[in-house]
Amino acid sequence: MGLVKAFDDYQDSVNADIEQVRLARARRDVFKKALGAEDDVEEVFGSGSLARSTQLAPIHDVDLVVVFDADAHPTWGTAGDAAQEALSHLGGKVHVLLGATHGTVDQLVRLADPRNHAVKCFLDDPEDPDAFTVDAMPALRQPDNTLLIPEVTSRDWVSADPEYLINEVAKRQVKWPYFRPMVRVLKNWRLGVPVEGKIKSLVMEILALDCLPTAGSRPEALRAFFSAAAVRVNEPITDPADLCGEIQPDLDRVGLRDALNEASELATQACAAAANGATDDALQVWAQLFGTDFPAPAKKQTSPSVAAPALITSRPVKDAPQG
Amino acid sequence: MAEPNIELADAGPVTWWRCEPRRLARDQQEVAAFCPDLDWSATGAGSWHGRLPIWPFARPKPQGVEDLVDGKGLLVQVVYGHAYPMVPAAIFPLDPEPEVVERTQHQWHVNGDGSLCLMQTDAAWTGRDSVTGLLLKAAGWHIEYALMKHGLISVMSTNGIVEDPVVDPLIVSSAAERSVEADVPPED
Repeated sequence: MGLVKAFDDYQDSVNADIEQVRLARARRDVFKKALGAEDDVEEVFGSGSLARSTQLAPIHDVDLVVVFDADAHPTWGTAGDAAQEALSHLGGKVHVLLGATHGTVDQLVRLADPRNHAVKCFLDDPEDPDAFTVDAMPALRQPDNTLLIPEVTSRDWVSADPEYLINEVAKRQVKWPYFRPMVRVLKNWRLGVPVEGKIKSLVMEILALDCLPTAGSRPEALRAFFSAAAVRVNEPITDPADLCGEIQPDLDRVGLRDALNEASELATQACAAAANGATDDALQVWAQLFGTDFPAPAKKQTSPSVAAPALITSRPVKDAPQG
Repeated sequence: MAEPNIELADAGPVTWWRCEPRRLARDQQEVAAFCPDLDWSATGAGSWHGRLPIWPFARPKPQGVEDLVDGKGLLVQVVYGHAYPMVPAAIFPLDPEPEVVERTQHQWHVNGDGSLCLMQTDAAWTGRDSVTGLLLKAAGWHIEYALMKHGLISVMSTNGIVEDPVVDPLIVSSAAERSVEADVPPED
């Protein structure tokens, strides 16, 4: 098996099942149609990984932003009770329009639970840990086109710009058709990283925006990503729109950095093996990096060129310090 | 008495590309794509000769860069040794050729033998890197050399300008100054 086919097959195992994606989108579209027809709603759009096409299997939730008409809710956007009021208002709408018993548009939602920023709408049994939810977030559009969203814990409203990330991912996808697929691969990779706590998927998306090249082959792009991200992770990983601050303040940065360094070494070994024509060796090293889902031939006596520790350079030769 | 090994006796010295035929093919492919004007010679351990592009970098070319280097790319001799690819090829600039006084001085990035000092440490070259990475750095050196000769900078940058646009504004402003000077009529 060649590298291209192996990466294609691995991608298939990482991608969410297309039927799952279609179902999630159909459910989202019901919400959009129902809420979008309300008099005090200006627009409804998807904002999460499904909207960016970087979703990972299994799909448990869909994120929606419901932009309300500020003139219809003059108190919204101010500190105090308005944040809770907005979430309750949206929760009430979901109940009337989409409630499982008496929904006027569809009968989908068993429970609409207002949380900190959004209303969590359970389409399955709320006790089921794998219950499918739609997270609907009320918002107001600001003059600079960013959003103002409620925050119940601080009894205030905060700025956010989820569309910025959607657009940035889309731009990179136009430049390089493997961008979104590789983001999914990286988000999947993080699940096996031994860190304290967990790594938020958004952290990997921001790292990909900063460190994943938008040209070349997938193996070379991954090699470059792991090398660059191992350095980048030392700095705070913040909202790319510069509005929401650090994505995950409790991130185990040391653990992630060690994992990225190890992945960088393995990717370098794999690329070196491939460059020497040792495709099977390269596949085995990629399988070592990504796990047993990555298709690789049975392990045989590894050639010394692959077994030897890779010589890692801190930068490509074209940018190396000159004498 | 053993028969002499006729095959080896007639084969001549063992060149690096006899040991690494895929590497030679890769280099020839990459150099042809990067700069078709370079000619390969199989004499000795092999070399490339010819002019590099003036601005082979990914970012847009600053206005005035052609003028800065007299409309010509750097003429180079890229000399391989038989330890290639574990030891990088040496790049000798022929036009412009650095003066002897500029050799071994860090601000010029020129070695004592007249070749370019493109890497501070041996570890910067892994043996897997592309020779075009060196050619890119050499093209960057050419731009910085011209800026040095025009007195616009006093020391070359540490990492080169392949991806660093640090000197781009300087190229544009110096071109603007030269065009203003050209508009001034000569004194009687």
